[in-house]
Amino acid sequence: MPPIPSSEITPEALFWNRRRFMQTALAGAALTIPGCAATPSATNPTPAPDASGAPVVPTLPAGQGTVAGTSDELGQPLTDFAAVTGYNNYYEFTTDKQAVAAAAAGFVTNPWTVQVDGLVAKPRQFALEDILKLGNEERIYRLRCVEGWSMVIPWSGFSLNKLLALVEPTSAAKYVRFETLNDPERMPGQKEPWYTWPYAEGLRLDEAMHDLTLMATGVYGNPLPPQNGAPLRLAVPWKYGFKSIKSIVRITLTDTQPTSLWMAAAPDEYGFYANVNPRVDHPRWSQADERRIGDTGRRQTLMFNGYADAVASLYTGMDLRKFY
Amino acid sequence: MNRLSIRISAHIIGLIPLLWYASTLWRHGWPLDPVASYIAASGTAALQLLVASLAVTPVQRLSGRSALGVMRRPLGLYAFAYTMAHLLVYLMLDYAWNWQQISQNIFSKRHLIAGLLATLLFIPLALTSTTGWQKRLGRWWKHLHRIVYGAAGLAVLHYVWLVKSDTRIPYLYATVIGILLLMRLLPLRKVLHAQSR
Repeated sequence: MPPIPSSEITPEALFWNRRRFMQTALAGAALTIPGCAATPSATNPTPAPDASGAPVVPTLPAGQGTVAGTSDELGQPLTDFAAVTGYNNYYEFTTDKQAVAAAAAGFVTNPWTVQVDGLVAKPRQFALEDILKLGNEERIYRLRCVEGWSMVIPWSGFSLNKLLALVEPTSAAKYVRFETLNDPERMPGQKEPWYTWPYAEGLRLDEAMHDLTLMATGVYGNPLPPQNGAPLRLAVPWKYGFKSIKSIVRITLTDTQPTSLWMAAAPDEYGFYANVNPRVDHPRWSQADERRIGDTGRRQTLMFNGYADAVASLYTGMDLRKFY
Repeated sequence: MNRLSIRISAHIIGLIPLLWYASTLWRHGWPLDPVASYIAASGTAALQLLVASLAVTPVQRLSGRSALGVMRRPLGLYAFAYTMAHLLVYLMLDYAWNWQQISQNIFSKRHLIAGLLATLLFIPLALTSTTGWQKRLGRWWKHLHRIVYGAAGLAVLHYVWLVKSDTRIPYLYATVIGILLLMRLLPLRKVLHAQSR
């Protein structure tokens, strides 16, 4: 891995990049309403008519519910239902992506509770039914895996900030830590000694409060199947997929930066921020491009996975090579 | 076993990975990320056949069946064919011949540099594998073909550097290749001892 320059001088290219972030952020702020701008397809309740005047109704394979949108806000079509629900990174079940669905079948998510605690005025244990009442809007997000592949996925759920508002984070809270269920009997992958289970992830509080940060409870118009992180998971679309932790049982507000499972496993490869950034390579592979699942060839990876207008301002003045 | 049946066995061994992959498709259906699947399968097959070809001489010596030597060339060429398939899938399906992306990708990643070097070392060995070249190069042919251990080492390094955390299988390949190399070196030492006496 190329060492991170110890010099405190910001390389000129990065300096200009930062200026560009700020410019795009400013331009974006003037034009967009946060939360809606990045997901116009989410607010499209009726399918647009095609040339013949008949409404375009997407044809859906079995097992899939109704989705309003057919593409993301960049016009990129949804990844097939079969791939979204059949090609999963979920090491708690198996490291074989195509075997996760079978390995996770029958995973019981009822009853399920989520403990929200730490630096909050009103710590609370939520029953899943109460969480589901917080909303069920469709959001079509790109998912960029750190391994270099990507999908376009129609999630449903609600902005995490709705849940956090209920517990009232105190002024001391700076970070949010998330934890997956720890149950090696139901999640046999947790018997593997390679990682420090349970899976944990973290966000800065302002990232967690951002409208784009989705608590997903459904995919393709149905409740989340186990392989996608039932019953609830994060979807943080401007960060690499591993940040979007699955099957969450605990959310803790803290004043110290949480250590994620991947940071603990390989600190030189995985940082806390893990923002999608084509200019900062993973030590073992380039992050400049990605293969959309189902495609041949690769597309250029977009800064912040194409959500720069909405989120670049969160990182103003930060050296993203250092805070990778 | 006569020479013909040994030759046929070599071809059967060489085709096992392909048949195994076909049976996987039959049992599990078409992969959802076919490109990644083809790359992984062809790379594994190349390494397995390389190990098989390196095992021929030690097995030949241990068993005392010199006729087994005719397996060396076909197994090596199958390893080369799977290597070429591996490279072709990467260039054609993963990167759709986008040379700018390809060079950017290869030269920024140590595991890809190792893989590329292994492939480059492999090419002259495949080209000079014919009996004609064997005769033309004479005693140099053997020296040249020792390069295969360098190619195998780089191929394993390519694999070790690629995997995320569970390096058991790549290190298993490294160990097996190391043992096979030692088995080639040990009799050599005996020969040297005999000469110095």
